[in-house]
Amino acid sequence: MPVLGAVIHLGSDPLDRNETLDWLSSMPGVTVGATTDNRLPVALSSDSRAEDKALWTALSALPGVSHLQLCFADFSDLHEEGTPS
Amino acid sequence: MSAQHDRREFLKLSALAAATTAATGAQASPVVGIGESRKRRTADGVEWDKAPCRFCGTGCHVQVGTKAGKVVAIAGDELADVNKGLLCVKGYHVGLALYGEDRLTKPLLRKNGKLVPISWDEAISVVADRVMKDPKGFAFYGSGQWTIPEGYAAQKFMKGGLSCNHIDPNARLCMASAVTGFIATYGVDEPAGCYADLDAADVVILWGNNPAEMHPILFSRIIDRRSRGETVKLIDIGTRRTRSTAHADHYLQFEPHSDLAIANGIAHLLLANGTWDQDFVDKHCNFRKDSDPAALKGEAMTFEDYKAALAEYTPERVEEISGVPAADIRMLGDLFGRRDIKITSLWCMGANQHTRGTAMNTLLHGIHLLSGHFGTPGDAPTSLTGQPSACGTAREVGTLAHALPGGRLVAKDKHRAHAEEYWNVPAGRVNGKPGYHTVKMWEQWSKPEADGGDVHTIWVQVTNPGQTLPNRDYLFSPGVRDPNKFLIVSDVYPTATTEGADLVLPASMWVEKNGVFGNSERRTQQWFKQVEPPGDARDDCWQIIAVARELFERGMEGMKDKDGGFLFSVPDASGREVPVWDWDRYYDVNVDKHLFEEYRQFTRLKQKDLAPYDVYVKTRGLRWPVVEQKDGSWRETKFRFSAFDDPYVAEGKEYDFYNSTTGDGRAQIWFRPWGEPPEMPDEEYPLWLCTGRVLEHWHSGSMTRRVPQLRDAMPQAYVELNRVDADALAIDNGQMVRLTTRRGTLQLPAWIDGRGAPPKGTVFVPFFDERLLINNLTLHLFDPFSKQPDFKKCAVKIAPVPQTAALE
Repeated sequence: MPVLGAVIHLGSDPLDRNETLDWLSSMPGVTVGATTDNRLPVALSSDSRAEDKALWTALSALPGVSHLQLCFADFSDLHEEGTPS
Repeated sequence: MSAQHDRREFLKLSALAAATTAATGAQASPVVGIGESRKRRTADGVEWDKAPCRFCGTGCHVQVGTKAGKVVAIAGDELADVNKGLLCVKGYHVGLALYGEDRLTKPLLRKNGKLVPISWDEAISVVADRVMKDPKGFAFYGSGQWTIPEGYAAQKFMKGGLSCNHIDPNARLCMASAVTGFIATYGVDEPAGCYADLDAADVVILWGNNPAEMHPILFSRIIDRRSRGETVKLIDIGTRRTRSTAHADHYLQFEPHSDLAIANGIAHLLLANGTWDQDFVDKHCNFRKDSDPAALKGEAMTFEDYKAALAEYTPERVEEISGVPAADIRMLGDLFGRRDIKITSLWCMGANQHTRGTAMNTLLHGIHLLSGHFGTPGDAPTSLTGQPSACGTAREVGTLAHALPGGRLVAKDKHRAHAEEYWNVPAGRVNGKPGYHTVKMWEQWSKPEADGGDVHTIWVQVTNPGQTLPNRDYLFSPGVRDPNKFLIVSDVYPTATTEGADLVLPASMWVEKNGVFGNSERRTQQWFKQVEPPGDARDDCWQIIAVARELFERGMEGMKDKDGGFLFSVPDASGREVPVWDWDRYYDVNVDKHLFEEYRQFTRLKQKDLAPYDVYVKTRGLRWPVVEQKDGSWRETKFRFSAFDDPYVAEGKEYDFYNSTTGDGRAQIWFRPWGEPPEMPDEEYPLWLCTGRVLEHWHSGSMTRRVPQLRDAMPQAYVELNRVDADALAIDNGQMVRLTTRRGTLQLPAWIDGRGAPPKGTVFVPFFDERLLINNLTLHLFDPFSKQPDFKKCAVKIAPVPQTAALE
């Protein structure tokens, strides 16, 4: 299933930010990079499209997350499984 | 550790590396020749190359990963100044748009009511037959999704070959009022500023605009500045709350069609408060009003007359008209009156799809000029576009019924002579009478020949008018039913348009072909073909050249240049003609480059200079005018008409509107009175209907609905309702609702308190769903100058229907 790279834009409240970082670090399928200013790079990996969607929804709803942006998507598995339908 | 595990770890590292680069804000240099590698190969065997995104007019650059002939990955391009490595939800799925299971792969001809496969030879012959029937009744309908070379080829085929000006793009439905607004104000089309304005503005005003969903990457530039601690005031002036409203400091809700009164109210306050920029206006502006008969240039008016005309637009009067509180009008007037802040206005379909679209566009420019909020980074009136090459192709190549490339007009003798010279065709080949604009073209196609319907055939490329034309049952369906009318459609998927087609031509898409786009900020962007199209799908540009060649071989004079050669003759490096009309030979030479270099000759007249094709190969786009420097490098222009950046500003001038309609280097500040719209809610049809887009789907959804993730996220159209209206009609969330206008009826599920929040008395329906064609209901009346119809407001009645249907 797709492997995604994303930038999480964090809000300015340091309490929310710490909570967000703790939560993310404990999440299976999420690899956290080093924060630059308010931007946190992450890689997201999931085993199914449903899991991918759920993960994305959960990230968007986290307190301390201003917004999310994608910057990388690999979907070569979809070709291997057959044409996406 | 398994190979599969290694590969997945590698992908995760690649994803994190791309995200880290984007997070650190790495930016591309606009300077040519910095030496970055265009193509690269990663350890997993994936080849990467650049391309602009296929979807909206923002013009984000992606890195396209291909392996074994397929697009397998997409990354934001960290070298791209537009998006700095980031992408929106549509952008990162763009690769999957190629792989819907119902791609068109064979030419199809309707025989006995059914579309049946035929050969390309037969298909090309059928198109040629339709042209030969009567070239004057053959029309071409394209879009801002045509690449620049494709649009240029279509333009040359029609105007330089058939001497027929019935060619128009769907951009007529999208940004034609922006064009007429720019021309009426500055004498030349397209924005003076660029996206860098968003990085410098203290105040950003959204005029009927929802960039959080329609231009997410641009919107995130503003929001990201805030989350870094900068202060950016966001003012949303709209007719319904949207996702953009959620981030706004002020939301000013206005009655549909009353935006002209708000702009006039701001101008009135600037004069009444003495806060207008008298020095800027005295030096650089004239005043203008509508003429009788109406003409785009209008007629001069004095400052005193201008001031008197605005006198009635007091905050209280504007509140009466628009519903926006007088205090908020004063707030806007005060902001525009301040010299210590930078203001950028953004607009798109809200101001353009408007029966007073030209007027509204000129008023937006006018309040920026009057207040001096113009011409420095952050101070800009900026219209955004909805299609990836609406600017590059529809506007710059001029694939409009009245236009020729580079800002020229068919009605001007000198401009036709330029085209005839560059195309090497005999004098008199280009017809001086403008052709049919979009609504007129389809009207003439849907009208029986006996009633004067003189368009017998339309060839549609890269667009879906069967879904996007307004009042579809008037403009589209009658022509489909008329056996004497013929519809040719080049497309990549079955659509509402191919459903009515007599001949379907399967087309290559995006990185299945070479291309050049031009985005909203005058940025020209090139890419190369990276994968093969499926089956027998072929490039749109090849299709045009193949038909032209068939006509040439049948002896049609128009397909010959004045030396008797083929109109689309493409030589190789040795000067020998390459038979590019033969698909097997089409990529023996770079046809795009040949057409682009020919087109480039047109770009100097109106200072829209483009660099050579090979320069764009090395960049993530350059904003015109692109001017060669003494050292041989090419320099782009971010801010037009301002001496600090625009090389065409005359020496000694701070600002120079060198295409001024008054020939004096000045821009025009217009007075345009507010007036009522042509159709308003009444007793029978008591609500306003507004249509538009959603985040997940692009345009008519023919591509994004093939992407499972996007389709799942937004599976079908709906009608957004205000809870008060819903309660009054006993409509529950998810219940089916019948919408009826004077033109048609449609049933949709209701969405109350949904993503957008229309005020009481208003409903909203997105147009992406081909199963629920809202354009059966919309209005085809249009702006008198731009001929752009109004999709944003008409009168509708709604009623619950017995059955219920839950929203998926």
